[in-house]
Parts: sequence; C-alpha cells; structure tokens
Amino acid sequence: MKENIRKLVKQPLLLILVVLIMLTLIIFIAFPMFQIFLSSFLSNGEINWQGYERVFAGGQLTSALTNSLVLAIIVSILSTAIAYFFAYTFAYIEVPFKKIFNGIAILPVISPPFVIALSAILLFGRGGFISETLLGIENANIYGLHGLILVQTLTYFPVAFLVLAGLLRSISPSLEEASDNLGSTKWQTFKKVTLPLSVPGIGNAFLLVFIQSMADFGNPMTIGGDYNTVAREIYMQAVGSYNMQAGAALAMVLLTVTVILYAVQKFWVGKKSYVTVTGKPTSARKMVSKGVFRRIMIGICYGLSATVILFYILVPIGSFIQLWGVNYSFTLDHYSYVFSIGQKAVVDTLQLSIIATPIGGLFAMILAFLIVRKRFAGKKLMEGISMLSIAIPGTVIGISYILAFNQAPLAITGTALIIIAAFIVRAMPVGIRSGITSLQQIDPSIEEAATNLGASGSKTFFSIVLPLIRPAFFSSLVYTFVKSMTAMSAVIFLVSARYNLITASILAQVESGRIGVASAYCTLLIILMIAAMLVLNGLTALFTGKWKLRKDKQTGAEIISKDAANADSVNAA
Amino acid sequence: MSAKSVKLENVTKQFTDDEGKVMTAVKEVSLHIEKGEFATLLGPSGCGKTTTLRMIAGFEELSNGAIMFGEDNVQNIPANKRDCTMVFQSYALFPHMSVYENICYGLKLKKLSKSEIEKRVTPIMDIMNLHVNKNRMPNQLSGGQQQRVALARALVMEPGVLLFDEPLSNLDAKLRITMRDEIRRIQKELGITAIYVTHDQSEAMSLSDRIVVMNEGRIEQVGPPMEIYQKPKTKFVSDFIGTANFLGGVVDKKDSDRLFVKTKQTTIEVLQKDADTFHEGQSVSVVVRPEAINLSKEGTESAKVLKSVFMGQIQEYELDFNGIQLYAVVADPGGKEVYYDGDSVNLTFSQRSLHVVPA
Ligand SMILES: Nc1ncnc2c1ncn2[C@@H]1O[C@H](COP(=O)(O)OP(=O)(O)OP(=O)(O)O)[C@@H](O)[C@H]1O
Ligand SMILES: [Mg+2]
Repeated sequence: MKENIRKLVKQPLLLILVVLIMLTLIIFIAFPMFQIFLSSFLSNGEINWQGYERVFAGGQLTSALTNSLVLAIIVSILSTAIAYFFAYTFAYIEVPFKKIFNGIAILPVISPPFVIALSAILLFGRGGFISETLLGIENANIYGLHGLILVQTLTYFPVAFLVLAGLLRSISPSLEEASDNLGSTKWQTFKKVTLPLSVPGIGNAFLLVFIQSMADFGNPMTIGGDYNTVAREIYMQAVGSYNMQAGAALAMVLLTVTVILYAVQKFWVGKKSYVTVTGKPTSARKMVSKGVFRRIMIGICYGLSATVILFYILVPIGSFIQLWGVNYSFTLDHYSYVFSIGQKAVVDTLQLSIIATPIGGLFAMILAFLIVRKRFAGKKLMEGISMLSIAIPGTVIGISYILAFNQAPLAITGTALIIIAAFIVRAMPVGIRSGITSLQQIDPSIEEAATNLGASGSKTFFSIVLPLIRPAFFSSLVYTFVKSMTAMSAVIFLVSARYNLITASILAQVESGRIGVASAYCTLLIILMIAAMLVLNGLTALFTGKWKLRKDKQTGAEIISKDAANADSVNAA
Repeated sequence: MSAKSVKLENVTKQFTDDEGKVMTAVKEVSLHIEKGEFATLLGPSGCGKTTTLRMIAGFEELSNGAIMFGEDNVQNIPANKRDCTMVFQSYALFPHMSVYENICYGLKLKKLSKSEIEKRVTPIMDIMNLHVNKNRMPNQLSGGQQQRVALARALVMEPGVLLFDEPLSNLDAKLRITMRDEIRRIQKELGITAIYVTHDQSEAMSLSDRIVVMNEGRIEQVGPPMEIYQKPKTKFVSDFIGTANFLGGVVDKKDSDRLFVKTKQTTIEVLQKDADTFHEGQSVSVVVRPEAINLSKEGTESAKVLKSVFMGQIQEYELDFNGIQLYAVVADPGGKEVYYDGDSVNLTFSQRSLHVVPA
C-alpha cells in the first residue's frame, strides 16, 4: 500500500489520470446512484418509507413491477428456447448460408431499440398490413402484453443465441462421440450429454434476456399499451407526475434486481462452466449433412430468420408510404419532414454522439489498461464502480441523473455535458470488457520494454498499448457511437429544448400516431449504423492485416457482437 | 558508451498479496558489480533473481535499501529514465513494428535525428546480422532472430548497464550456445556492464566474470565461476553448482590452511584457505566432486561398486563407501581399468579437489 502510494507520487501523470478517472466514475456513476438511494427515502426533506410503500402496496407501481417480472419470465423462456434451437442447428447441422445467423445476431446490438415494435405496429396494429389488409380485422390491438412478448422475443433471442452458440461450439465432440460409442441413440446422447452440458449456457442466456427485458424501455413505450412496466413507470413517475420519491424507490428495486441477476449470471459463467474444463475442441464435429431431421431444423430456422429480417426491412418500407393501412402510395414526405422540422434532432444526436465517441472509446481503453496493468491505491473501488455500471439499467441512469445534476454544485441538467456523460456511461462497459480481454492477451513485458527504452507512461500507452488493442479500441469506438445514436432509456429523461434526440423524436411521433415519420427516422438511424459498422470493418481490416493478435480473423462486426454479448446485459434497453 | 558500476546495498523486496500476507522475495542483498563486468544471478526458480533485476531496472519499488549506478542513487529515477536497458525472456518485441522500427524505438524517443539514428543502428545491425530482416515484422522471424532484435534494441541505446532476464531460455540447445558466445563477445567488445539472470549453470559458468548464487531471496556466494565451483561457501552452493557428494563429520584438528575432518568412515585431510573460519568440534560436510574420487585395486578395499555405466567420455560409478553412497566419474575410461558391479575397490580422494563447508 505504502509502495503503491509512493509509486503513484513518482508518476505524476498516472496519479492525475487515476484521480481524474476516479472522479469521473464517482461523479457520473456512484454519486447518481447514491442520489437515487437517498431520494427513495426522502419526501419534502423528510426521511420515510413512502416510496417503497407505494412500490409494494399493491397500486400502480406494484402492478408495473409484477408486469415486468411476468413479461421477463415469458420472454426469457421463449427467447432461450428459440435461441437454443438456432444454436443447436448452427453447431450440429450443415446449413447453407450459415453466416445469416451471425448477421441476425448482430441486429439487436446495432439497431435502434424499437424497430421491431414499429414493424409490429405496421403489421398488426390498427390498419396493420396483416391484421387489417390481409385478415380484415378492424381495430386490431397489438398493444399490450402479447405485443410486448412478440417484440421482445424477436429482439432478444439473438443475444441468447450468441451465448448458446459459443457454448455448444465449445463442447468437445469427443464427449458426444464417446456417448454414441457406448451405444446411445442420438436422442439419448442429446438428453444425457449435450443438454446437461449446456445448462450453464442456458441459464446464462436466460438471465441475460431476463435483465434486458426487465430494463427495456423503448418497446413498452411504443407497444406496451395498458400493460405498464417498471422502466416505463419510473419515467412516468419522474417526468409525468414529478413524484421523484416513488420513481427513485422503483428505480432502486429495478437496480437491485438487475444487479443481483447480473451477479448470479457472472457466478454462473465463472463457476459452473464445465465446458472449459474439458478443454479445447479436439477435433471438428461431424455435422449432420442429410436427413429429414436436418431439413425440418433448417426450415424452421430459415422461417424464423426470414421473419426477423422482414421485421427489420418493414420499417424502411414504411418510411416511404403515405399513410400505412389507408394509403399505400409512395412518398418522400416523411423524409422531408425529418430533414426540415425534424432536422434539429438529427443534428443534435449526431453532434453529441460524435463528441461522445472518442471520449468514450478512449476512456474505456484507459480504464481497462489501469485495471489490467497498474497497481494503485483505490483500484478495487475503480474496478467495482465500472463493474457496477454494467448492471445499471438505462432508466435508472436517467432518473438518477435528474436527481443528481439539477442543483449546485453540479447543475448540468439541460446541457450537452449531461447527455454526453449518459452516452459514455451507457456504452462504457462493453469497451472496458473488450479492452480488458485484449490486454490480457498481451505480454506485459512489451510495455515494460517500451518504458525501459525511455518511453513515458503516456508514450507507452499511445505508441504501444493502444496500437496493440486496436480491435478492441475500434469496437469500443463504434459501439459508443452506435449506442449513443440509438440511446433512449437514459437520455429520454435528459432531453431539453436545447438538445433534442432522434430517439426521443421517434417516440413522440409514435405517440402521436405518425408512424411514417418515425419509420423515416428509424431508417436514417439504421443507415448511419450500417455506415459506422462498415467503417469499423474497414479500420479493423486495415490495421490488423499486418499482424494478428486475435488468432482467428474476425471482422469488426463479429468482435463487437461478441463483446456485446459478453458484457452488455442491459444496454439494449 | 559509458559503462557504469552497480551497487546494491541491503536491498529488500516484500510483496503483499491481496489478503495482506507479506512475502519477502529479496532479503538484504548487497552486491557490487564493477564497470564492464559481466555478473550473473544464478539460483533456483523463485529465489528472487527476476525481482532483483526488475528493481535495478526500476520496474519494482524497493521495500528497503538502495541501488546505485556509479555514484548515483537511482531511487528517484523512474524506469524510463534509468541508464539501463533490458533483454526480456519473452523478447518483448513490439509486434506492430518492423525490425528496424523496433531497434530505433528508443533512439526516436531520445529525439535523435534520422541520420544519427541511422549511424547508430547500422553497426549494431551489422554485428547482429539483421540487415536482411530489416523490414520484417517480429512474427516473421525465427526465435534466434527475434532474440537478436531484442539484443540489438537494447544495445543500440548504449546503456550504462545491460540487463538480461533468461534471454536464451526459449531457444533450442544449439542456438543457445551460439547466442551465449555472441552475447559474451559483444559485451567484451563494447565493455558494457552486464547483469544476467539465469538458472542454467553452464550458461552462468561460460558467460560470467562473477556469479552471484542466490537462494530464497539471499545471496549465498559471489565469485568467479571457478571459485564458485571449487570453493563453494555453503552446502547449497556446492550442491546447486555441479554435482557433489557430501561426507558429514566434525572438525577434528585445524591448521592455518588445513582441516582434519573426522567422518564416520575415515579422517580426511583437506587443504582449505579459510580454515580459521572453522573451529574444532564444528559439524561440517566435506564436498567431494565426482571427479575427485580415485579408484584402484591396490591397498585396502574400502568401497564396493554398486553400479557401473559406460558413457563414452566418462565412466560413471555408484559406490558404497562404508554405508554411504557416492557418485564418481572417471574421465577417459578407455585408457584405464574399469570396474564392474560388485567389484571391491580401493577408494581415495584427490586431496586438492576436496573442500569443506559448514554442515
Ligand atoms: N508481483 C509479485 N507479487 C507477489 N509475489 C511476487 C511478485 N513477483 C514475484 N513474486 C514472488 O517473489 C519470489 C521471487 O520471484 P522471482 O520472479 O524473482 O523469481 P526468479 O528467481 O526469477 O524465478 P524463476 O527462475 O522461476 O524466474 C517468488 O516467490 C514469486 O512468487
Ligand atoms: Mg525469473
């Protein structure tokens, strides 16, 4: 400890950096969390339990809570089941155009949070294409629990797929061969070997989806109808009825649930994974290449993939249609709205995201570097806070920021700073994770060699460390950009007349029934996201061509989706 | 290039683990390495060699004591400002830079002009035979070539002190010998002070002016290779360097330069320069190197051959000497009488090769 302090004093730059990062983490994560905690016990300056009483007394807040839990359980079960089906097909069966699955898996990471909800309205809503035009149902109602289940399952099963596909791939085929060899039928082998071995992965996937569903804000706002959920209720309490105490209490409950689930999930990954014990895949698995079974599996997977893709392309189509359900003629009106009256939101969002991107990317890399490589007083705390940030739902960030930053000394409500901070805090966990992972693969003596040859701490970081973790850095940059552009749950609390955001505008358009304009905004976002991913792929290919750090060549998109699946449990909300 | 002497005074390093348990990796090490000297830290795994080297390089803080380069205490000089460069066990080449860029890295940081850099790099690349690989990336080089780049990168800085942490342990046996000779040649040629860490005694023997034998964080003995081998100060050193038989006993009588050690078997007379550091009645061990044992058929038959193995250059014997097992080696067995399992032989010691250490 004494030596650590002495070390810090001797490297003033490191000291400054540690202090700065620590302050940032405390101001933008720890302090706001403390503020919600405090506010949940405070009404008009008095300490009391009224907030929590309201959460658990059986009224509107209680039903929001139970609703969220019911929804999360259903969606997690469905998503995990579908994902397992996909993952099994992916790992065991020869499928033409398998890459499609990977593509679908990235969609929820990069797409705006309510694309599927919008499509669902276009298909099944009042005047929906399927509900009314095809089936002739008038006043079809997609809003509510059933709509949410549909939308969330389609949105989140790819996350579960990534987890399960990775797991099934790592099961050593020799285990299954051994079982076959002992005379088991394929079904018995599945039941006795494959399935038990996938239990940790299934649990893991289930929990990840559960957390995301609990924390989801965009879908319930768009398609929830009368079915109230926690994230939405927090927003209503805070922004609608200015009952900060009730909002804070509900946020505390939500936070507690996600933190606990996240801890359980961590524990599960860490302790329960038998798969890693059995070692590397020794031989390639023999894929099922013919038979009826294969054809059925492929058929179902293709069908589901087509459905997901349909949901995603419907929105761009909808953006060119005059009035969905009534007048299907082609129009550019929605875009001209977006680029005239709605332009401010686009410009603001782009501006703020572009500012947040380099700061967020670099911040994550530096933090990862400090955690992996440096020893200093307070490191445990730094690690703890950045770990915690993974588990904080966006809505909780949102309400905590209004509570924390609306009075001196940190009165930054309404400024660009608060929005940028929210962007960065939301995207940071993924960057930190991938930074940590890639730093752990680099021999620390490479950095020592640089120091030894005369490089200062910052010189070592910029000339050696950052180039070596470039893939992680790029993916962190793009992830920050993508997440900032599509952020809603946290920043919806923070938008003001001065700064409007695309996602907030979309929500407003949906609420006033102007689905066309919402679709146009969404399409624009999707195009920007695709552009960002392409830039990432280009950068990664350009800079990793010369030397390979990751053994298997990965595209930037694959890196980002993997990093996201590992680290991002609540961010999609 | 101005080589510097290195002085360690009472250097101690303690590590505290996460649970607050303290372990002492280096204990009160004092050592003076002369300008231009090649010193090797030798010892078993975990004895604190790397830690010592890293403290000299500035990567680890001292818990106690001081390190001086020449006359200057380096306590407050950070690692990147210390006048020493290091060759790492893993080479630690920058994977994203070419061979040339790797070698220039330190010079560029010194803000030398392009032509100056060129002027310093060229002769080093000549010595190291690296010109053809100039533009390759490290992962396109063989282990030996990577090793050369690592060495060139450290040498080009013209450091006051050059540090090596087991630089050859990743190479195959043959290359290890070639590189070891090369390192020694260059070090002599340039007159650099070198501190070299290894746990391979033949490496230490062939490279060093002096060997520092370490054990459990302490220095056991410092001296030239021959002295370390022939005149070990402790049982640990005699056992760790080369092979040794031990005959336990007590000092029976002593002279200014002679000890008479009474063992269970016989009383052995040993020529020992530092005889006065022992006192009569002290328990000691006589170190008997395998080559110090002579066997013959004449005289009394005091030992029995348990096992006899022909190895080409040598004949190996396992002997029973009044209940003690001894290991003996006879060089050039072709011209000598060879004994076989079960033979009884007369065993004598070459008196000049014997040595006494405290038990
Ligand atoms: N950073 C550290 N934290 C805690 N203990 C350490 C640290 N570095 C070294 N040690 C401990 O200090 C002791 C000496 O380690 P050191 O690396 O100096 O050994 P060594 O002589 O170089 O061994 P080897 O020949 O195996 O490289 C070991 O017991 C090691 O576990
Ligand atoms: Mg070592």
